[in-house]
Amino acid sequence: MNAKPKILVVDDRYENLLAIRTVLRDLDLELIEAKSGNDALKATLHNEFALALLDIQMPEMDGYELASILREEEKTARLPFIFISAVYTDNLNVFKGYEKGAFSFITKPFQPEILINKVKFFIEKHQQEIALYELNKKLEIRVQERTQELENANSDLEHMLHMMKGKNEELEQFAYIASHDLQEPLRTTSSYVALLEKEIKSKLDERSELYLQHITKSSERMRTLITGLLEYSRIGKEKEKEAVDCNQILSEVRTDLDTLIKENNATIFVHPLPKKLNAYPVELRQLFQNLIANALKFRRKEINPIIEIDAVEENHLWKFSVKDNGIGIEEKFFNRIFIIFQRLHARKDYIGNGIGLAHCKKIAELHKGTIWVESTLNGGSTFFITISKN
Amino acid sequence: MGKKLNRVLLIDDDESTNFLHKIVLEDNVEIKNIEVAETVTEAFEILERSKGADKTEPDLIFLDLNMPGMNGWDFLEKYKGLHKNSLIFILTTSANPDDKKKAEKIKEVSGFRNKPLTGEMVQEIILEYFPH
Repeated sequence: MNAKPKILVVDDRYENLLAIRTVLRDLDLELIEAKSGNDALKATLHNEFALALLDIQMPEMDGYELASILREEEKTARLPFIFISAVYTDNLNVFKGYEKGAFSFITKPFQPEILINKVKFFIEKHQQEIALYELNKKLEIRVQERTQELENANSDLEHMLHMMKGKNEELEQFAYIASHDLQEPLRTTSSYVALLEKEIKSKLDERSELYLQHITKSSERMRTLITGLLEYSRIGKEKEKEAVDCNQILSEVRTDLDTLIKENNATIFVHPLPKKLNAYPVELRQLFQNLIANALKFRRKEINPIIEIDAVEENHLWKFSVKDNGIGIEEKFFNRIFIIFQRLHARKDYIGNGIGLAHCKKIAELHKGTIWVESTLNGGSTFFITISKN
Repeated sequence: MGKKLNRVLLIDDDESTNFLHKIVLEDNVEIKNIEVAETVTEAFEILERSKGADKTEPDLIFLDLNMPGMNGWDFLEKYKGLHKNSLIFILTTSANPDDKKKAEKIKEVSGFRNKPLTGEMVQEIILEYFPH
């Protein structure tokens, strides 16, 4: 606000207006003069005033009346007044609008110093009010902007979440349909290759026989990949969680893997696990089965496998660990191993289709948890799985 | 035909793919020695082995990208440091344009083709890179 503050001066007598103008001439103000209440009201239509100096005794509309009207108008409701009266009148109560805005009295003949000080006081107060008002306005705008930004960001997020959910379902559906439909022609291929082998194998030369072998091998690989994909897309589909005894699950897994465990001379330690965990039992069992089978598969040849399974309770989750003394994993592969179809070893060294750990990851996520590994090459691996309690 | 190559190295984790590519190569160009690696580690073993002997470096290397453990990119990363000069062609199933862009930035890579390797591809490569 660089403009000079405006003051409305109302007096029916020219010499009074002149006197006021003279007294206030050194102040940085713009004086707008009016010789009647009506002129004063007109002036308020076109100007924003910081203060009004009102003569009380005027013909037609006196100072009090004018002040009351000004108080009623929204634009001037808070305009401070200084009433200038010839004498200290006892009709102070005539003016009823004092509760709304500041006002003061001064008597004629007035001492210039007093008028100057009063005007200065009100102008200063007015300027402070304006500054405060503008600060408030600015703050309000900032708050509105920030609120709007937050609302936008929020709705963007919601939208994205919605999209992601949709895309995820779409992908799972796609994987299911694709793998299901892909099996059909594959099965036909395998059948015809089998027929061909049976009918003409004896007539084939060595090279052609090799071709047939490779067709069979590739079809078989394709079949396991598709089956894996199909199972992967089915994880957690149309199933309910229930209270699961993890100790029970582990003992079943050990029974299932009994032959493998014995063949490998493996020792498995299972610490006490949660007796009542809200989980998908089939999937949880698959998770432990995959991890233990992996620990046996990726054992070190020179020592017997030792596998240790434990669970630690944390705030809202259970943290399971499956620790082995196997060949370990290089750190650079820590993430890749959980991606579907990603393998670390040549097929002739370790069989498998690169699905097991991807399954485990999906199962952990199904339980609002995660899976990760800590390992060093030749130093064994520990897989950690978190499962949310609810 | 008529062109002769000394050595070609095939790097692919799928045995059947290597077998097929070997046949396609044999049918289209005379090659003294075609070697096969199913992992990046194996590939480097083969490259190391040839260093001391009187054998030369492979004229051509066909490289798969998606392999277990160290993949094709890992191979290229390590190969850079060896300062060898075989012509390397990436052969991949994924028609991923990002992979192609990435490959174009690696000066050791001479070409990027989609699997399977065909007779025409082999002829093209021979014509362009081994004209004499």
